[in-house]
Amino acid sequence: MKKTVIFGMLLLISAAAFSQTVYQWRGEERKGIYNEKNLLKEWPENGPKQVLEIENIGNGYGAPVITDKEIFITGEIEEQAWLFAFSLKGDLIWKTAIGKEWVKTFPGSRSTPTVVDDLIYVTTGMGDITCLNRETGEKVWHVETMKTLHGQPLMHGHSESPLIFKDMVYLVPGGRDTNVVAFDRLNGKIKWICEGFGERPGYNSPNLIELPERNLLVTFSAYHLMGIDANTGELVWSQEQTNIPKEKRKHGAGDTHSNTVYYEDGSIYYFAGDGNCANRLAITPDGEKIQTVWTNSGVDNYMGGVVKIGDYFYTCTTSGKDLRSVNAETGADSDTLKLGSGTIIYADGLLYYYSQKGRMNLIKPDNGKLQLISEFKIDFGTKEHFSHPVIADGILYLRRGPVMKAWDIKE
Amino acid sequence: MKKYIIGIFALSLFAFTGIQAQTVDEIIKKHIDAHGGEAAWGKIDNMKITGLFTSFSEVYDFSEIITADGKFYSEHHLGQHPVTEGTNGEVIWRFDPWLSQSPIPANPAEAHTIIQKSEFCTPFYKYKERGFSVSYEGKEKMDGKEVFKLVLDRGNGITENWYLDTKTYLEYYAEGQWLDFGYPSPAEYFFEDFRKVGDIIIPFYYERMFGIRHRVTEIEEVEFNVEVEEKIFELPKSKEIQKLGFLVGDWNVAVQALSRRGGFVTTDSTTSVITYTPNKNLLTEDITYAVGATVNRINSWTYHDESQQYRVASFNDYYSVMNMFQGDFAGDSLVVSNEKIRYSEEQPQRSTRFVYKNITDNGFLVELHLSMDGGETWITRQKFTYTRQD
Repeated sequence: MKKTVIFGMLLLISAAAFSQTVYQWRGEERKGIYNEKNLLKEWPENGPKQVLEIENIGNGYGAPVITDKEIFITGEIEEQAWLFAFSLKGDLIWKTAIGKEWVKTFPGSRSTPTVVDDLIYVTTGMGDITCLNRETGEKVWHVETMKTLHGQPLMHGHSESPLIFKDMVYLVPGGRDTNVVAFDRLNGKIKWICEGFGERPGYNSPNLIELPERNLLVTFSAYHLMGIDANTGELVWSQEQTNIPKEKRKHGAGDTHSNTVYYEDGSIYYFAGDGNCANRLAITPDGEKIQTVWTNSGVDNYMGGVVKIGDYFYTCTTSGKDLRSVNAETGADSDTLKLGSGTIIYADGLLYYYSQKGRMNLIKPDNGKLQLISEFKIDFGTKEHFSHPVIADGILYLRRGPVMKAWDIKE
Repeated sequence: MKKYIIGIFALSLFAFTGIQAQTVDEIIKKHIDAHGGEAAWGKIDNMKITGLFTSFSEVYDFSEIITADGKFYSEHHLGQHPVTEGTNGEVIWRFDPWLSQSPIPANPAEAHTIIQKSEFCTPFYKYKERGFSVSYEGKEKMDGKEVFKLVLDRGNGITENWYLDTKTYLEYYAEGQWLDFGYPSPAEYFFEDFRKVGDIIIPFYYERMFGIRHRVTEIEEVEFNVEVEEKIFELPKSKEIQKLGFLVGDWNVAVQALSRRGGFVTTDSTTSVITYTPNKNLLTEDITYAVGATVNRINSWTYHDESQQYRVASFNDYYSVMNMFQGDFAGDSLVVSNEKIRYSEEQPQRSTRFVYKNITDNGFLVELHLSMDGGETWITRQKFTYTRQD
């Protein structure tokens, strides 16, 4: 009896040790689904009530991360990358320079920070990764992966929101022999390196798949989807993106796979608009093997994210310039709304779709059917309408370039 | 009487619909008139257009020259890389550092975009002369406007949908084919801010969207009938081929060969012409000389980007065989050899190299060296002294 009690306590302690409060890119499990209730079922003509405006956060496309008490967001100012911490009312708490930022094509910050308990992890478009103290913004550790891990440069800058699992934080520097790396998240020391295919990074923010026998880190390099053992760095399986033949592969052609992979009930779904487009893969329970179940080559979503509600995925397409629902079982197209390409999240029964035409749309998904309910214009900020919206505690947040706004969407 | 009345009514109705329904050529004429009219465009030999061009969210200056006879030259940026492209009406070329290390002839998809950029007025200007055909598909509503839909067939398998504002007859939107890193991509074109400049009217703002790309052109200035050097429309020589410019010219060539006694004796005095081949990164020479036997050599010089080596193909008609040599500048001399060129598994014992040295504006010396030990040692066997003809 005593041994059972002790064992039980040990289990609880170890669970607690790895029990983390994580705020990250696209929310829980990176699925773009926000666990909110009692949100507006339609919006007034000019949109919901604006409750926040923060300016001068620098150029960039990275979405904010909202915790229970802060807003964290990255931005580029005069070629410097900054991580800003604001209160929920928009008061600056601190800001910390985190390295040189990407200022070439699509200049500005890309990363959404990941907050785990009292630490924050963030990357720059130059491939730096920094861990900071959440309270003070002080750097805890910092790695310039292009220099120290000879990461390969990308055409549009490194674009990855760090993934945390237990005591590790992962990054894809894309070095020929240091392709995917796990750092000790407390001190920045390397825990493992996976050589992968030695390819450039694929602009992807990885996801973690927890299986009974194995935990897998799933991410893209330029031309391969990779399933990597999250604990050891072993490359377990891969799937080549075959739309561009090897002899024609160049920067910017077939290497941009920004959408985080989705996992549910033994199936991996990926939406690689610059690769094999939309795919469902069956994965064996031991995580060792994958097999393609369906491919939908008309769903070329490059970076808008997807959400799965019930039996359908909701995704944009680039060539169709629409929001589309896709049957998760069969991969067949179901319904479309001609709203242009965009980014998508979901909360309290409704889809929030920020189109590249600069409109925020509220859409009702109903078993694959799409109905536009409300919309309003996004006319603040500068440059492209690329960033992903975020919802936290009944507030809708959106960043466009150097400005972030928020609206009250509670009923 | 009743039949008469019905007949009159029917005729009236026919006349009424006849007045209302425009033919495609009528629409196109009004479209060209809306751009200033054929007479106004006929006075223009060329236009130089400058402004701002946005790609990958970066804004840079751009400059274009478009001529009435189908020539084109452009300088712009794609992201941080400067891109030049053009056509002399025959050869269409491009230098895009994203894709190549030197100017090269355009592939079909690239050529199609350059042709579109080089079009005078709009693609409907003198379309029949260009071998296009156009059909009118009726009126549609677009963004609250009424538009004529015209389908343009370029006769090369590519068709485009053009939508002209029914009030102004100016283009509002089009669907065509553009270019994404060397590959064709379906595209949308948007036009606005039409302004009169001189006697013509053109859009000062237009966008092209294809895939996830978005390009914006904002014109700032248009000049007419500017002085232009014709050579800008030619495929430029790569900078590596330009370094071989010392070879180009009309030459007197003194030929010497190593005699059995060890000294060099003059065996011939001949001439040669070395030229750049137009629109190609290629030089050629056809020279005949005597070294005992009479030898005719046809030489071609090129540059291989990937290996960063010059390659010389040399046809020797004494043996009726082509040989390849490759190499690079070593200091002030160009050295090309066949040491590392294999035609079989065996390593050849005998190697040949040409050394171009003593290079001045008025001439150069070519030495032919032979090695019988795989390049360990070399002996000069022949010398060719090129002196520029007056």
